[in-house]
Amino acid sequence: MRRLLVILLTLVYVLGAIGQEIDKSVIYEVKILEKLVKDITKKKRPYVYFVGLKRQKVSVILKLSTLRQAVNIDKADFIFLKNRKRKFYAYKPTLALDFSSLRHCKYCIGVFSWKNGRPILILFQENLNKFRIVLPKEYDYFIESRMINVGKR
Amino acid sequence: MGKYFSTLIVVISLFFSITYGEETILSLMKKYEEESVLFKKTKEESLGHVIIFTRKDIENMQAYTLADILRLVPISNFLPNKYGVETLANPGRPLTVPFIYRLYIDDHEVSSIHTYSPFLTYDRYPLDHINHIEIYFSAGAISVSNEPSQMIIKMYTKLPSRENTTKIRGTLDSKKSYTLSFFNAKRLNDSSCILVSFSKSYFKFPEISINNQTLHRNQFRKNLFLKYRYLDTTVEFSAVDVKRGGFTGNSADKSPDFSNIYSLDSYLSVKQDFNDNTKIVFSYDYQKRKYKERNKSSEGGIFIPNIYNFFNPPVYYYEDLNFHKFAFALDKKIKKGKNALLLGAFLRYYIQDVAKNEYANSLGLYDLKTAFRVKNFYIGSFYVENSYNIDEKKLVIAGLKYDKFKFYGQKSKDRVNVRIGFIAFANHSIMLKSFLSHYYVLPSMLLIESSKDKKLDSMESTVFSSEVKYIFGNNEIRFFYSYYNVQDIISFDKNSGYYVNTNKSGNFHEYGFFFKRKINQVTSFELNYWITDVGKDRYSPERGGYVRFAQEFGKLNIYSDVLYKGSYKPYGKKINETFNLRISVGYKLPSDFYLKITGENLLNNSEKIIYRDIFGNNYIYSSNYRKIILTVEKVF
Repeated sequence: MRRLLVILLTLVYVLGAIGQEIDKSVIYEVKILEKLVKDITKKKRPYVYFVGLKRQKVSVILKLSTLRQAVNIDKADFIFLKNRKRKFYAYKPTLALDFSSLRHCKYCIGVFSWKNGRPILILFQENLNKFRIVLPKEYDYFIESRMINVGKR
Repeated sequence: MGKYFSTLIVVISLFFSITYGEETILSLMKKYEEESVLFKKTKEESLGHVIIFTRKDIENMQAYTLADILRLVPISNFLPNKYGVETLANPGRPLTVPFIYRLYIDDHEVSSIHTYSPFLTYDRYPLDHINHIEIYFSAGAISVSNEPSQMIIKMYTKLPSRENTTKIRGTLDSKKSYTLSFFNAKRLNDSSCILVSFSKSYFKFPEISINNQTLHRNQFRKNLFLKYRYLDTTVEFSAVDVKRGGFTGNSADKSPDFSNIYSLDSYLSVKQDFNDNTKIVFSYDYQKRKYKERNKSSEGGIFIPNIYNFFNPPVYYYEDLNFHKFAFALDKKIKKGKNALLLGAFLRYYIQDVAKNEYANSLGLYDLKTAFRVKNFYIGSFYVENSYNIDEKKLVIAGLKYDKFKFYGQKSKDRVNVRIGFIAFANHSIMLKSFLSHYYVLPSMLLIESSKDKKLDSMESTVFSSEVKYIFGNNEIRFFYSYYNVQDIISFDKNSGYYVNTNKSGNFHEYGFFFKRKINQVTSFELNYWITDVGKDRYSPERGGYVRFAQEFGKLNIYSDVLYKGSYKPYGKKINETFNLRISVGYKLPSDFYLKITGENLLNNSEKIIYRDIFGNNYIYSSNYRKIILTVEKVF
């Protein structure tokens, strides 16, 4: 029993130490992405595909979460989109990580980025419906109509 | 066994709450925002005792200019000097052109090349592009790329990648001051981002009537700030142009017939960050000053050191000066185990060039272009600061800075500044932070030009400061104490009419008390009271404080503060205590429009100061109007 306690405490300490090495804000950023993907796909370890993200960012997301990288877009349960300068057809649930990508992605389910100095998450009702995504009630605060938001941001 | 089992359950729940704890998306977003705040990345504990005005504070306070923040700086007074420039001053000290404050925009120091005072150009600097402000009580701080000082004010600009907005603001007040501002900042792609901010303002201040003349210190200003970042390289350009009334100026009767000041500050800086905690900054500053004053000889003329003659005083004075500053700074942090070593160096070269300088008395016009000026000045500095963690709760900081400098017309000199600090956490709720510094404050170019032998020695200062912070629940109590000993004080000698090293020493003690309570996520309260032992018979208040309160109700936010300054007795004349009440209300309208209203000096009892002419007459001046400020903001 004592050994178990020691092991558990050590594990807590080690995980805490890892957390200290990495910027806490990055940890929360990844937690948000991970939670969103899991709640949308309803899978414990979903496959995600990254379009336009830097390799360094991808490895941080994979390191700090239980998400798995899909080998190609067809194998993915979810797509993250960034730095897109031309049209992107989202035929799978896709989240834009900046506003310029959102402008080029008509069927993105939403955007997670920064605006006016604050992090912002907006999910579009119309596109959630398109992919038949039903999210828990806690997301209601973030769900809006795309008709109001898109284009201007 | 039962005991072990319950312990195991507790530990397992703790483990899961840390690693896999289910949090709602809303709470994660809030934590992400809290952890991302910029001041957590920019704050430097080793610089000294810090007070931070966060972005939220600045927004809630509806603080649109630097003056709206500086008025609240504890253990200081913020009042207009004889030129009408709102200036920080130590308690009890006269309102002069101070040389002990340094102002930064990001990593660039913008204090005046000529006087070291930043306030002539930056007193009403707009905050549209400023994210947060850090105020360091940093007497003798080592790890800075500027000449030794008492206080450092750091304004950090917004991160364009976090903005992605365009903002237009219009502000108008009941005394017809106005500001129009434009702000745009956005991320261009993963590697680059840009920020542009431009504003135009007119500020109207209370006038004073002396000798049947109405004197004003109103100012017109234009500000432009640009920032471009590509990977780890940041380029900044700033230009600030201010025209203002010269107020009581240098006229002997404190009532010039005409006085006007023009100042232009501009700079270009390039900063390169490297992955291994190394930073290099190159910069070039250009500053321009024009000053014009007229006063009749029957009213005592204009007091100009070196020239003034009571029987035939100057009646006209004009100067047009250009200043250039080339600066290079490098610092590197090396972290190894319990040790963090900071190595740094900077080199600065200042040039003064006189475009025009003349005066007139009853006999004619005289050219002063050949009069003594500090044509150039350089300072090179090397510093090393080591922070050692004795254990998890105790940190010792020791630093040394070697300055080598040379003023035009003098031999080069060198000085060594030293500082030790100690930061300790008694437990999770009590923190102690103390510093002992020994440093030399250099005179400004202006002071040397206004001295008898055109040379002044640096002022040797020894300062001990300490604070104790106690956090319980949502409350924070902080006690602050500091002791100053300054040798060979530089001050104005009334008999000779020059600045001199007085060979006198000065000692004073400061005490501050702070109480902060975060009542809930949207309500906060803060109280401050400070006192010094300089006595009441001085030139500015020796005690003060404030009460601040902020609350949000959905789209509505309310902020209020009362700024208190104690009574004092300059020149034997009593000035009663003052209470300056400010209330701000902001409301978010549809389509990202914001309507904001602020009432300033609502009790019509703002800070007061006395101006005295050379004939011994005193004039009391109330520094702020009672007024209502209306702001409309649109975010795109």
